[in-house]
Amino acid sequence: MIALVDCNNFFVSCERVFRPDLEKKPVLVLSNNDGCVVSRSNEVKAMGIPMGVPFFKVKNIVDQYDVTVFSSNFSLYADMSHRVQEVLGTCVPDIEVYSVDEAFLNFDCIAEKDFDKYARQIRDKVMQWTGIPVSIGIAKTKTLAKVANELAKKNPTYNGVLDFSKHPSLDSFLEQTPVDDIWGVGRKYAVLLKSYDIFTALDFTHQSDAWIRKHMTVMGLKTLWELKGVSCIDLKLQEEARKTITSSRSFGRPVETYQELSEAVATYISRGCEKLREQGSVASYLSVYIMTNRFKEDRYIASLGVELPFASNYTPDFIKAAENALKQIYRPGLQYKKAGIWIANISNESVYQENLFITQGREEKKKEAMLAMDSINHKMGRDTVQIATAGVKKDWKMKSEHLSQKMTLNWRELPKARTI
Amino acid sequence: MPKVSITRPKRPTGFNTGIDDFFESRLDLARHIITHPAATFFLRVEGGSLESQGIKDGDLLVVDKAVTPSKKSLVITTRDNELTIEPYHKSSYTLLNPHPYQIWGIVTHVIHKI
Repeated sequence: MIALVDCNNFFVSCERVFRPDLEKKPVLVLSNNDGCVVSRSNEVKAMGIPMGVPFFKVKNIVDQYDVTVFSSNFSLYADMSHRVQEVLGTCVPDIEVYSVDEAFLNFDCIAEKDFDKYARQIRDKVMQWTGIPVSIGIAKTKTLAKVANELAKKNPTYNGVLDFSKHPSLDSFLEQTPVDDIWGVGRKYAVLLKSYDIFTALDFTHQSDAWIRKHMTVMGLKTLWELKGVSCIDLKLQEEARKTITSSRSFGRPVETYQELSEAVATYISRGCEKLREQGSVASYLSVYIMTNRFKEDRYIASLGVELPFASNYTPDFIKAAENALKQIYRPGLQYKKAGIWIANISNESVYQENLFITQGREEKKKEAMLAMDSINHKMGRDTVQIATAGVKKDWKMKSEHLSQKMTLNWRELPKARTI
Repeated sequence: MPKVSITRPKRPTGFNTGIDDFFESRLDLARHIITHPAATFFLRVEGGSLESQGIKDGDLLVVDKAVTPSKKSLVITTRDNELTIEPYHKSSYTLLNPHPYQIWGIVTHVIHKI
């Protein structure tokens, strides 16, 4: 039995944790550069403001109805997401974190088999520990759990939890679910299905295996079977992705200047970040080490670890962090024989990239640059294209006129508790 | 020539001094006082009316949302829609106030910088 736990209006909910005054008020959160609406409270949804609409198009409604606007505070949302995951981790042993605000839980471990009751306990615990409201859908397959979750979220009569295992027939639920809302059916497939008069998930399940396979490939077939209660998509638990990455080398001849040492470190960083991207990971910890000949009496071995401001697999982010570390451990006048880097605190990239709007603009450019670099290097040999370590241009500053404080990540931006 | 080492090099023969077998982790204040990391938040006191109780304006509060309050607790509430630090009086949430505000978390430690 699988449960899908999904945070309600996640970014808005994160902001509301520290703002009790916004509890039942209209709130929305904007994407990078305050471009589009990426999260809406239920009050804003009721106003008819759609997801993804450019902010300037709804500014007049926002002003007229006193909607509170926030710029995306990704660091805060990432921390709150981790907290929710940690709380879920105290409830069941097997969890697949699917995106920043969703996780699949394996409910097979629950002895009493009263899944609804257990889910409500989880929901209450997450709310108490983190202040984030969640909805939970329970079913035999991931796809059905998603359907249940959608209904639990939209229909207040379920009070946040819908357990399909209690219902012998799911037909009425599938009838309420438009094909657009089926996991695995994107916009193009939705249009295709509707052109064949397939409008609901129930209609979908009435199609033959052959028809679905022909029009939607084997992935569509998996979706069909999942909707019929046959699990085809397993829970992806922590994969065998590398937990740390190292890259180092002894020098052919002793290296003395900071410049040469810095170039070597930059090369190792590039390799390390390539490996990160290859396995679909991001990381937030980097350690740099340098050493002179360790068999001599006057040997010098030094290392320094730095925490990146946010998890990344973008090479320039790591090079910048490495430069900071290297500056502090480098001693002039020494003959260095070896240098290396060590990357840790590695996590799954999809947790950050799942939100469509995070990959807009700047993030998209970064991703494209890295993709281009990786493919050229693959074809023409390693290090054909490298990051210039000297004179790297500063990024333009991202517009965030409505940014809230980093309540949980910066000592100077803590929430206040007033005395009375 | 400088002899500064930041990492500890192994002796060439691989023999260690033995003392490292006894090495335990240094005391970590955060780990010591935080019981539920996922539910713990830090807040800053704003205002002086609790000074008589030893809580001063600007003090750091360690707030745990995962524990339940007891009679003597100091809690964070959402009174007047603002995060507020006050003593926990159960009665004030039922008899006197028809719309009880919520308990946001329980103050477990107050850190005062000298």
